[in-house]
Amino acid sequence: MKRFSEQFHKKAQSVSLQAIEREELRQRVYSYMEYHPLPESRVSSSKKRVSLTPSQQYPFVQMPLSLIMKWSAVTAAVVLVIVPMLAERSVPGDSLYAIKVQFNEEVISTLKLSPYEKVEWETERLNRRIAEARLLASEGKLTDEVEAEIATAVKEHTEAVQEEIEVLRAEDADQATLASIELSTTLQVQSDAFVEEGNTVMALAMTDASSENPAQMVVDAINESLTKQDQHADTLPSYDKIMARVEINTTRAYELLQSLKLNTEDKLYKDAQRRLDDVGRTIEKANGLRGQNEEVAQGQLLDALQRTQKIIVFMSDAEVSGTTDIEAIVPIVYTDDEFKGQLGQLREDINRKIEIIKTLTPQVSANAAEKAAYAIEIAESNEAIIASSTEPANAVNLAKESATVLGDAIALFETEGVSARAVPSEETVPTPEATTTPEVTEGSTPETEAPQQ
Amino acid sequence: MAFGKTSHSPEDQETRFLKAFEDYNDALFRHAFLRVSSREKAVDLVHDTFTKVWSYLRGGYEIDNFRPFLYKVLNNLIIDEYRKKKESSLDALLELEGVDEGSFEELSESTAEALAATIDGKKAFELLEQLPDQYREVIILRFVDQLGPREISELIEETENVVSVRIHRGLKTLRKMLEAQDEAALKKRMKKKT
Repeated sequence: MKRFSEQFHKKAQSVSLQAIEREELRQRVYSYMEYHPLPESRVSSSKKRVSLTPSQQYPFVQMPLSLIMKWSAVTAAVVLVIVPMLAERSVPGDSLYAIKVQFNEEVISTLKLSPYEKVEWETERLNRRIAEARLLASEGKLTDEVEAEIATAVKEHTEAVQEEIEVLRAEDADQATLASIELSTTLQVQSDAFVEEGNTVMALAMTDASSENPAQMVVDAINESLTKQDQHADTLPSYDKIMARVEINTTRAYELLQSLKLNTEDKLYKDAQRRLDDVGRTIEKANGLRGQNEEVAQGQLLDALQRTQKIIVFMSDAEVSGTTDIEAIVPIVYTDDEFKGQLGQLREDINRKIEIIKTLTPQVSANAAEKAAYAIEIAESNEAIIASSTEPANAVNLAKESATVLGDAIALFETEGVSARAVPSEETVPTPEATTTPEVTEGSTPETEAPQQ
Repeated sequence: MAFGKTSHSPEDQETRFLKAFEDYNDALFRHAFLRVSSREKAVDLVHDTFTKVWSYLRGGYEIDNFRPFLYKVLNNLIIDEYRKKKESSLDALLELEGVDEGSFEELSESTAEALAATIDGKKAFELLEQLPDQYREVIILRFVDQLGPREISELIEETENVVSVRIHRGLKTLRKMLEAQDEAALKKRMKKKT
């Protein structure tokens, strides 16, 4: 019997309330007690003495405590989540701007542990300040005061990035150089975008003599940062390190591109796609060159890196892509075949111009004739170089130069009243807009670059 | 289980009630769980037990000994619970109520001990759920809550004799069930061998 009841009892002890169940039960009973207190006359004295035993404290403290907890949770949510979220959208001059800069961004700063992440984040902050300046400028709200503030912030952030880069340099010189390159690329894009935008604004306000670039101080600050940045240019990072960075950036760029495909009009997508394809070709070329001349290959890869970075800034910064033309930031890199096509058209144009000049020379003054003869001479010597050139890009540049010189000669003829209209002129050559993005067409003849006027 | 109009001061009542809660919540839960086989329901039953007892105190009654009183209230609540659940088997319930006098053997505490000595406590505990509630109730009160036959008889409002008979028969049933289980296991093994 003893054994049985012992065993049985012991086994039964395994059934018991879990701590959480007990606590819940306790709370339920206590709140029942609180809502159904002992009759007033009996309790009057008990309430005063209730704190004598710890267990008695519960019934009276428990409800307000849960309420306090609830409200403090709500307050915490408002302070720590909602306000910072609202603050993210603020611009200088807003009441929440201080929270954005001094709380949100500082918190993120402390979360970035590795020096490279820190550099990236400081660069991002720099971008944010510039974007704010641009936004305010576009709305006409950029006062001198705010502008000075932003310019100071730009300088501060640049200094912070440079400091971090120096820290990084002690650890990994190659990464530091790469970070430095990325920073200056970003700055360059922002500066270009700003200048272009400023020009538009100035052009619009041409009549107002006092108007100047609305964000000149910020532009100056960016440029100052850029100059400082350039002083740090030193030895190239190793090929593999650049390659790794390029791969990371191109992946990011393609991700961005995929997101663009869904929600942006086609042109931006095509533009970006074309530039990324260019980058891809540059990388291939660099890989091919590596065996022969590592330094040149490194240079090309760096170029690819910078272009990718610019494309990323262009695609991710709506302010930049909304106001600036991608061609101004990342020009198209033509393939050899495209260059050959351009070259063919340019040569046709040159020959026609030479033809026109030769026909019209007898009708003009000796001075003009002499200049025209000189222009033809230049064109011919250029042609000799073009014929033997292995670099299609150089050849195209030379051909453009020839076309320009010859065009000048024809223009000179026109000032003397001798018109070239009788002969088919250069105006018949299609003049593509600088912004168009021709598709890469291997082997076929793409549109030509217009002869410079 | 004496309770009558209070002579204790109210704060005293409250302190004693809270102490009773701390002392017995686990035991009451265990009892309830073994009877109703649902943790959630068992917690609810314990909660209702304490709120009912608190209401008694509010009514100006005084409870000298909380333990039997709490068990009494809980037991009534469990019976209510059964009634809610098994309306159709009310007849069966009444039928079971009609217990015969019981043989001399069944009434003796020492024979119950002898019977219990032949049973494996751990295994028996596992089978508790399958035992008819009439037996389960007394077995739990006797061996889990460790109440004496007199306390049990007061609690379930039966004579001590009835309690003893039920304990005896409950143990017998448990032993039978264990034997059947062993037999089944043995047969299974034999079958496997052949």
